[in-house]
This record gives sequence, C-alpha cells and structure tokens, in this order.
Amino acid sequence: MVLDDIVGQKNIVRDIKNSLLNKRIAHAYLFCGPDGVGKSIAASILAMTLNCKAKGLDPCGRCPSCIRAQSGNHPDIIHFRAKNRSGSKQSISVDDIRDLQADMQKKPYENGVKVYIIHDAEKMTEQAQNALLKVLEEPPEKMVIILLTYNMYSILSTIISRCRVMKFTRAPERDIEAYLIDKAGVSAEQARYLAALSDGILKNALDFMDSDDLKAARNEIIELSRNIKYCDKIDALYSVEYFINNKDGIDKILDIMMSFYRDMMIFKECADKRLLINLDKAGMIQDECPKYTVGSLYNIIKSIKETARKIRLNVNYQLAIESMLLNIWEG
Amino acid sequence: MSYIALYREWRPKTFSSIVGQEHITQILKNQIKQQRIAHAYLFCGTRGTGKTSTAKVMAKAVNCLHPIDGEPCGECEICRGIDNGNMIDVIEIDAASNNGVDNIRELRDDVKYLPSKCKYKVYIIDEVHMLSTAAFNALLKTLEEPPAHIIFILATTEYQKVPATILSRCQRFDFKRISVPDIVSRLNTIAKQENVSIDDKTLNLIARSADGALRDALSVFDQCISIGNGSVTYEDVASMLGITTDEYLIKLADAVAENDASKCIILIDELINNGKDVYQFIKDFTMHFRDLLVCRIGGAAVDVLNISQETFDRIREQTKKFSTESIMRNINILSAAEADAKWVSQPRIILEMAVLKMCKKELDADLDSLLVRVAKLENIINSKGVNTVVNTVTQDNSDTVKDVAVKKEKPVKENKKPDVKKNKTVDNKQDNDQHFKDILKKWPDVINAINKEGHKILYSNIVQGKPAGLSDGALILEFKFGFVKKQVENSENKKIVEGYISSICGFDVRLHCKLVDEVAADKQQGDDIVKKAETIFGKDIIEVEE
Repeated sequence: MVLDDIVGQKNIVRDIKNSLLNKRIAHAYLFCGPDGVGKSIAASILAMTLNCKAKGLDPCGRCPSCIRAQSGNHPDIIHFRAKNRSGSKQSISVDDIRDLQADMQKKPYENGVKVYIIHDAEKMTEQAQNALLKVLEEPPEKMVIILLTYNMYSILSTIISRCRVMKFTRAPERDIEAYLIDKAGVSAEQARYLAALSDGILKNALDFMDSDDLKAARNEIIELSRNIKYCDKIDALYSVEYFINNKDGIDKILDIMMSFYRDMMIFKECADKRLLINLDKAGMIQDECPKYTVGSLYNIIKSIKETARKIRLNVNYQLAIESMLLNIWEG
Repeated sequence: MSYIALYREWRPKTFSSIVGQEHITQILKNQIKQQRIAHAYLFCGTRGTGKTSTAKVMAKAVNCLHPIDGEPCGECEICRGIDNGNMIDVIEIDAASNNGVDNIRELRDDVKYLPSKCKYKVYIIDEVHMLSTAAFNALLKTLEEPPAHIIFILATTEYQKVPATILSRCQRFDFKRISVPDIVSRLNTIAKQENVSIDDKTLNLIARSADGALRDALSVFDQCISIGNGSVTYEDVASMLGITTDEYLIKLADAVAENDASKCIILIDELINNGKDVYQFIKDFTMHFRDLLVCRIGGAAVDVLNISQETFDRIREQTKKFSTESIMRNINILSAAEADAKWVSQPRIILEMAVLKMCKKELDADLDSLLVRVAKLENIINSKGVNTVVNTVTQDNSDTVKDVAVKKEKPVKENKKPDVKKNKTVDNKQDNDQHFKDILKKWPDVINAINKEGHKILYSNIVQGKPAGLSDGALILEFKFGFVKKQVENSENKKIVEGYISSICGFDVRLHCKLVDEVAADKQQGDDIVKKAETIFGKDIIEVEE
C-alpha cells in the first residue's frame, strides 16, 4: 500500500507527502472523517513511512521494518483500541491512557519513530482525554500520536487545538467511479450509480458491487416504486409484503427509493441526464417523470425520509411503511 | 526529529511576547517589581490563550537573577534552566493524570523542602479542573498558608469546576480570547521569521477559524507551511479547513435569489464532485445567510461579521436580492436540513431538497410560507379586482384611464350610490341581496384586514359583530353586548370599517350597529305590522315589499 492508493483523499495525501518532504511531521495528528474513507490505512502508511529504512515519501514495502509493520508486529507502531470489558460500555479509560503515557516515556526500540495510533478516539472518556493533554502538548522526542475519530465534535477542544487536524472527506463520486472502472472492471453506467449510492465511501460501493442479490433487489425496488402509481389503493398496500420480507435491509431499500424519486425531481428541474444517480434507468425516469409534479415528488421524498427516521425510532414497522405507500400513491 | 511544532517553538519566553493578555501581564510585572507576589494564582480561560505560557514566564520572572523591569532576563542560569525544563524547583504537574488525593498528599510532603537553587519553588498545576473533590480539599490548607518559598500557579480551562474554596484562596486571572488582529499580527511575525509568504486575507481566514485560540491558529498555520513550498494560498487553507470558499457560497446564494433551481442543482453537483462534506457545507451555507441577515439588519457591520472588506461588500450587494423574511426562511430550511443530514445516509439528497425548497416557495407547507403566499394571492386578487372595475368604468366613460389607483373608488361610489337610493324596485332588492351576500362572503377578509393593519382594539370588537342584513345602503351589524357596540359605533371606528368594506367589497355602505335584541324586536315589529295590516285589510289586498 502507498498513500496514492487511498481513493479520493487527494488533499490529505498531498499534505502528508509535503510534510514528509519538508520534514515537518507534527507530533500529534487528529484524523477525522466518516468510517470507511481510509483513516486507519492512511495512519498505518504514515507510521510505516516514518519507520521505513528507505526514507522515501512512501513505505518501500521491502525493508525489514516495513515487512514487520505489514504483518502487524512492529514494536514501535502501536495500535491502541478500546478494550472490550465485560459488562461496561466499550471505552478508553483514564487508566488505559496512563498506561499509554508510561509506555510513551520509553525510547523507540529501533532507530525510528514511535507511532501511537489510537483508533476510535471518541471512545476516550473525558478524564482519559484530559489525561492525554499534557503528553500531547509536550511529548517525548521521536514520537507521533495519531488519533482517529469519525466524530470530531466528541473530542475536547483542548485536544483538537494541540493536534494537526486532517479532515478526511467523503471521496468525490468521480474518484470512486474512476476506481471502480479502472480497478474493479465495472461498466461506466454501473460505476456511476454504485458511486452515487456509496455516499462517498468506497467500501460501500465495493460491498454493493460484489453482491448480485443487491443488484437484483435494486431493480425490483425501483420497479415496485414505479408501479405504486399505476395500481389502485388496495394493490398499493399489498406491496407492503415486500417490505416486511426485507425488513433487515430497509435502510438500503429506502435509500434506493429515495434516489429514484430524487432523480425524477432533478430531471424535471434540470432535464440533464448527467445529474442522475440511477443513470442506467435514465430512459425510464424520463418517461415517468411527467406523471408527477415537483411538489408531489418533494413530498414523496420527504415522506420516505420521515419513514426512515420513524423506523429508527422503533415505531410499528408495517404501519410506517403503509402510510408511506399511501403517501406515494396519492403523490 | 529535530522539528518542533510551531506552537511549542514559539512559546512566549517573556511577558511582552504574550499576545492579547496585556491586562494580566502588566499586573504580574508590577507585582514582581514591587515584590508583592501572591502565593497562589489561578489562570483560567479557553484553550490556547496563554495560561501555561504565562505560568512558565512567571516562574522565571520571580526567580530570575537579573530581572529587567519585571521581565525575566532569559540569560541567567535559572532562566535557561527553566526554559530547558531541567530546573528542579519549577514543578509542572499534570492534574488530569495525577488527580487523586494521594498525588496531592505527596505534593504536600514535598512542599516542606526549601528550593535547591531558586528563590521560590513554583508548582504549576495544569488542567486543575480534573482534580477529584478529595484532592481539592486536601490542597486547601497548603494553598491557604504555604511556606514562604512556595508559589502555586493553577491553570484550567474550566474554572467553574474548581470549588469556591479554592477560588477564594487564589488570585484569579481571566485570559481573554485573542482578537483576530492580534492573531494576525503574531502570525505575520512568525511568517517573516520562517520565510513563508502569505497574504493578509489568508491569515485572516486562519485567525477566524481559530476562534480566539492562538494555538489553534498556529497549528493550522504550521500545517499550511508543511503543505506548501514556502508560500501559502487562500485556497490551500480553505480546502484544508474544509471550508467552502466565499465565492462559491455567494454564487449559490445568487442562484437561490434568482429562484433558479436547475443552476443550484448543478452547483451542488460540482460541490459533491469536489469531495466536500455536505454536512459541513450546510453549516457554512447557514452561516452565509446569517451574515446576510446581520448585514441587512445592521447596515455597516464588518466588525461583527469578522470578514474581509471585499467579501463584506459582496455580501452587502447580495442582501439587496433577499428580503429579511426570505433570509430567515432560508436559515430555517437549512437548519432543518442540517439536523437531517446528520443521520441520513444520502445527505446530498437532503441538501438538494433544501435548496429546491428555498427556490420554490410552493413546496413549503408550513405556516410562514403559506402566509407569504396567501398575502401574494390577496394582492393579485385585489389588483385584479381593481382592474375589472376599472374596465367597466373605462367602458362607461370610454376614455383612457391612466391613474388606476385614483380612479378606482370614486366611479364606483357614483355608480352605486344612486342605485341604492333610487327606488324600492324589485331590481334593487335583488341588488341588495347580492351585495349582502358579497359582504357576507368577504366579511372575514374585512376583519382580517382590520387586524393586520394594526387596529387591534377595533378588531377585538368587530370580530364579535355579525352582519345581519343590508337595507338602504346600511349594513346592520349585530352585537351581543352594548359596550362592544358602542365601541364600534364610535364615529372614527365606523369610518375605518366602512373604508375597509368599500375597498374590499368594492362598494360603499354605511355601518349601522344594533344589539341582538333590537334586531329581533325589529323583526318582531315588522311582522306585527304586517299582521295588523292583514287583520285590517284582509290578506288578499296586501303585498309586502321590503
């Protein structure tokens, strides 16, 4: 792995490389961004690079240090995770941090840099975070701490101010598309909607691509949504069965429905196929959209969104779906 | 690694280099000059304002062998020892990791011993708010009456967590957030020393993002230097901070102002393709509308907004395109979208919907926008009503009408009034009924109009009235209570109501107020007369006309 393999984080990659080049690697980093965009990969690569014997901008992958890092037993690269304690919530306690601090006082075993990667930093308790402050501000020499978190707002501002903050963003859809086409051999149209559905997270797109079931399910869902408009009220309610049978994947189902109606709304507004998410269904969307008004589409999307929220709040599943179906039927 | 983060490298070494806290450093310097040093200090303030730095400078200043006007010399053995961190008489304690009562007991035992080299033994207890209650209490006695050679400096970001008994034993100094100009000038000094070229606009952006904490600003600045090759550009910093540039925000807001939904969608597509975080963007966009709002209300407010003059001018230009109501409405839409975007898996759709809603007011079903739309419709209807009347008038007079507004009412008056007065023909009766129906239909509008235009008292009275009939061009209003009726009958109020009726219904009536009993009695009386006539003349002869 090299830094450039991380999809869609051009700025981060450039920043890290330039700091390596300028020999200005900070003693503390905070990597934040949604899960699955490559934070921990980036942290691992940075740790490897700092310890690599070749001293390049990317780890060479061949020196003893890199090989050990890849197999996960480099003594100076420490991955720190919340410990699973029986009974209590998963968290990083103040005692964990104190142990870590004691460990930090020891010099690196090899002639490199000691790198501490703290995964899920938001799991640190408030005391734990406070306990980290002093060492973050004035750490021993030859040491780098990398905190990883998906939610920067659960980290104390006093910690943030001591770290160099790297904001990992959702990858541009274009980059995911390019990756899917180049590396995974997906057709352009497929790549487009996979990228759109991935929400900027490559992992989601890959999951979706690998499963034929998901693809078939998507066609089925769109067909079903389309048909609601044509049948009478009772028939519309019959389709609730599909939702009941697929209760586990309801989030994905609603996502797909939402994207379908969103496409019609956007097409009505802009009449530009390039803006669609379900690019492969462009023809059908074009045919369908005159049957709705923008207002009704807007209300349908809103109702789907509300249904998703309600299901999270644990309301009666069938009733929620039925009322959504009726809303769509009326729309 | 010889490289040290900027905020550590540039940690102030003298009082004069501490930025933006002159109110504190001056006092401390004077205390040292006058030898009135307290035994316990509490420094509080938000992160990155200089608490720990001041504590360290203070430790040097009280012990320095050759102090210069209250400042440490920085050259004597002791100053250098403290700077290097190997002077054993200055003890820095991290209260967050040593927060137990046992740690404090240890400290109490140590306090007894005299300093080895310095005049004073200085304990700097950082993050003191994390001490446990027991630990705080164990500290109380020592803090109140320490040996003569001891100085305590407590530093914290959250003084409200420190017990009152501790607070009362210390001299408390509140560190202020550092102002943007102060941060900028500090960054400028550092930029010159580090040979980095950076313009003021970019420095301003960094300073603003730091929210008053110099360390945050230095962290960001450090990052910028690490990224760039000797120069830092505005775009670099904006992309690093994940901030959307002002240009883009203004462009999108323009598209919203023009209600150009399709342009907005295309702009958003561009945004997503650049990998911007939608959630962060919604926040930025909300802030932009907030700036517009402030600008609109405040007129000249560069200081409040903390933005560059150039952007300010553009924002002020943009405010002309929005009404205050529509800005508020947009802020509401965006904050709702912000809440949704947090949990939904496709935040892009949420943003698109929000922007569509901003462009298309008819998508909005809440009360505010309905009111706006109703008002708009009313206006159209009113102006249309005017037009039709004017048309008939022009037909009658068969000449061109230029000033519609002026001619609107007068011709109507002239036309209708004679009609009413002329004769008690059957035609007239129909006319009368028709008018009464009109009035009944438009009565709620009349009342609403009265309410809206600010005649609140009159409204509260007239709302109790009920149109009971129209006779001889006089509208009979039925009231239950005498005092309400009196209020409305007041000649001024009467005029107002008549004015509204004539402008809304399109013809003039007089107002005649009656109590319910009177109306009933009238009817009764009317009926009585008819009956009497019948008994006298016989049913066949009489025809009742109204």
